[in-house]
Amino acid sequence: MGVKYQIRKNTYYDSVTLMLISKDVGKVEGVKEAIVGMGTELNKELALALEISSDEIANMAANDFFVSVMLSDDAIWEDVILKLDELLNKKNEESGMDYRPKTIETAVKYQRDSNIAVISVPGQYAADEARKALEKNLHVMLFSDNVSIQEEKELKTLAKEKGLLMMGPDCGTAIINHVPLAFANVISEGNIGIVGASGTGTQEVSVIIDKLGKGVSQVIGTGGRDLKDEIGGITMIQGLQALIDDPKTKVIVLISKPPALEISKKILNLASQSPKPVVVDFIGGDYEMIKSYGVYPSITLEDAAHKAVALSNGDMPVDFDRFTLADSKIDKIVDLAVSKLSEDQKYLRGLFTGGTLTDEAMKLLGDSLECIYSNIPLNPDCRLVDSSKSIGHTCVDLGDDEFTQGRPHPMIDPSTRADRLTIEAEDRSVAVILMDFVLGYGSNEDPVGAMVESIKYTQQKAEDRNQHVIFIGSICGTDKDPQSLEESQKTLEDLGVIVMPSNAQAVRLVKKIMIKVNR
Amino acid sequence: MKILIASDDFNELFSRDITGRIHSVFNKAMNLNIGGQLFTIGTKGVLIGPRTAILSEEVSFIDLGLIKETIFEKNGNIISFKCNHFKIEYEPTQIWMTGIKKIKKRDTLIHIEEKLKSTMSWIFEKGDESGISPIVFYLKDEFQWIKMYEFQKKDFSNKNMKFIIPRITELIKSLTLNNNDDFISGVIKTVGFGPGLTPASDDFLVGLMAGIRYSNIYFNESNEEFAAMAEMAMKKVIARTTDISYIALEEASRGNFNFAVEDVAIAILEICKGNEFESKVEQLLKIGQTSGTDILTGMVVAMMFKFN
Repeated sequence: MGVKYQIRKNTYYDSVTLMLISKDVGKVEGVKEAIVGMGTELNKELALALEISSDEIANMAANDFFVSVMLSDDAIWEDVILKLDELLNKKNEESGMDYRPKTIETAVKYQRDSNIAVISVPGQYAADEARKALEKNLHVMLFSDNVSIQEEKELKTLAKEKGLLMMGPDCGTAIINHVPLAFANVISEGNIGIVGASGTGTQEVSVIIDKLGKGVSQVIGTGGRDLKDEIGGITMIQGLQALIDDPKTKVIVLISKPPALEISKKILNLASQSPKPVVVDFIGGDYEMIKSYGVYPSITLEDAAHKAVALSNGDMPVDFDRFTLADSKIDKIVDLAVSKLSEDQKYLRGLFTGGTLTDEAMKLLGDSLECIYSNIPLNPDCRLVDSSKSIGHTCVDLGDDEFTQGRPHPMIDPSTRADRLTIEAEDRSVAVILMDFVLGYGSNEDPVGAMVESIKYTQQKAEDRNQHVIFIGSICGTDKDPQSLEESQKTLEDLGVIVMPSNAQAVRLVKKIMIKVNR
Repeated sequence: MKILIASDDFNELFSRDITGRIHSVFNKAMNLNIGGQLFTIGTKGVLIGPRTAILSEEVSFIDLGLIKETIFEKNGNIISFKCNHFKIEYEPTQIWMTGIKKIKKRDTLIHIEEKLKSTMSWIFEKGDESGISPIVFYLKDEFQWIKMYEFQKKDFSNKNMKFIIPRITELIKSLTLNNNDDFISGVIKTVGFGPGLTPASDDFLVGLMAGIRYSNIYFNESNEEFAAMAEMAMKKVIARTTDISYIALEEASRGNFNFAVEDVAIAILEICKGNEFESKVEQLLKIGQTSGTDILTGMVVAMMFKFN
């Protein structure tokens, strides 16, 4: 073991950079102790107390930056300095690009062949920026939310007049010409086109299409309010027409929560005239009504993907409402899991990062559980009075506004869910914890890893009171995503989490367990 | 590029022609050294505070090519920088007054206690607890008047925390015993702890001073004695922390705080709508990586003590 240090005289980095460096240097393998910071008297005393000081450290001034570490092996020092410089230079590299235009106007002048603008600015500026982009004849993907519905209508009307797509506001995912935008997975190229009004719902469908060996031509996001009466489905209709006209698209999938009736009719009318087969998942929508338009209704997001793939292969689609594993194997999993529960364990806690996945879970479970409490309940009587506290069967969408004010979405920073899980760990009536894990661009670099400690903590808590909590999860990700799908799955399985191939299958498994538990 | 708003002390100095050097440059702010005193120019979006002016546009000072030690001059209403001929038009459209603000409609003691408890819960729900804020879990064992909603006490017992706990405990004890010498010694032993450019313990102290000052105003008590003690403590810690952190400490000892700090202090003590109160707390929590959380922790601890 050895002590290594470096001092940078009279050097300032902002607090955010220093804190991040401090956290990350401590995580480098082989680092036993670490201090990163300014050379204040107290930090020098702390270095002394941690036995990572030196004469030079003792003599530095408060405005000097320093890093001092105790290493299990001196050879690691090079890794520490590399990590340090990587973190310090990150910002410089970003700002060291040839030219970074500050406005849409200069960006267009600089890159004249641009035809789409991706906008992510605070809500109060978002509509103005989107308008500027549309006026410059750019399609827009507006990631920002907090844009009024009136502004959304104005922007979408302007876009329509100019023959442009206005995706959003609050548009979380899109894949345009195979370029993933915002939250999106790496999906193979193919001939299935998607228009989606729900972010994680669209991701789930595209991921399952990829897993089934097919791919997408375009994924067009509309923003969650597009199919409300006030907007009239402007972007979904434009997106549907664009895919009808797109020679590379052979099959079309439409995804949304159930739209307003009039809007639904308008969209289904257009879909019914499409020369290409259209699969419609109005999550929990009226199956027979959708079918009456001659399109293919789906019962789950997974079913929508299966039907699209069947149609893409030239096969007749059938409802996919089963498990990938044989029923006998599923029954064994259920029996084994239930046998470990104590008598007072009877409730489900669904902790979701994806809103659509939460919604789908509650709709699939609806007929088997009396009341599922939620911050986005299906039944208003089952609204959680305090969203931070679960009661009975609870499914929470931790990506909902109330959880994301002033902090990142849990798909980016899963700490909200990790903290929530440690609260659930205290409740001896919990039988099953259900979770989604969304991989892909935009998501946390390791959404599974970020939950490991909380899962272990919950398991230990249960064990301490002679209980066992059943963990069930599904991973929305492909083997090409920047995070490793294989490692994510292995990590979960090593922890004893039952990993199902889709949200729908995870929920069906929960349903089987809950029926048995409450029998 | 124009100045949108400037604090009164910034404006007073910049009302005449002056020269100085750039002390340090960050993306959203740069510090100017004028005769050994630091003043800050922040980009649009940075919150106004003492010795600060805010530009009307959002820029990155690093991208503008500003570098430390560069000489600048203020002639007439133009501040010009020698390194890249960058110019700022200095004619602020608003002047922001430093100093303790008035409390208009005092809230009741019961409401204030509730607000303090809520704020404490938001510190851990919405703040960044990687600074000094977890110290309240340890202070709670020592000082029964620290009230919190029921929290699961996590394991915060890393070596750094063990190092600082006795020092902060000593500092708070000096306040409860009204012992000026111990307070000064407590400040000296506390300043400069933590990795940030404004170390976490300094942020905690700024909050502590805000909490005491504003509580005194609420109770119509004089701040004179505390001001004298705080200013004396600051004179002794000038070399114990970074120049940039020292500005905030020195100004806090004089009763001058960042806009977001004042806003929360007043919102706790005044009648204030729930949503408005929470959004002000959130605004403060957004400062720096852990600075806002640590300032708020210091403020709440001081107020809980004063309202005990």
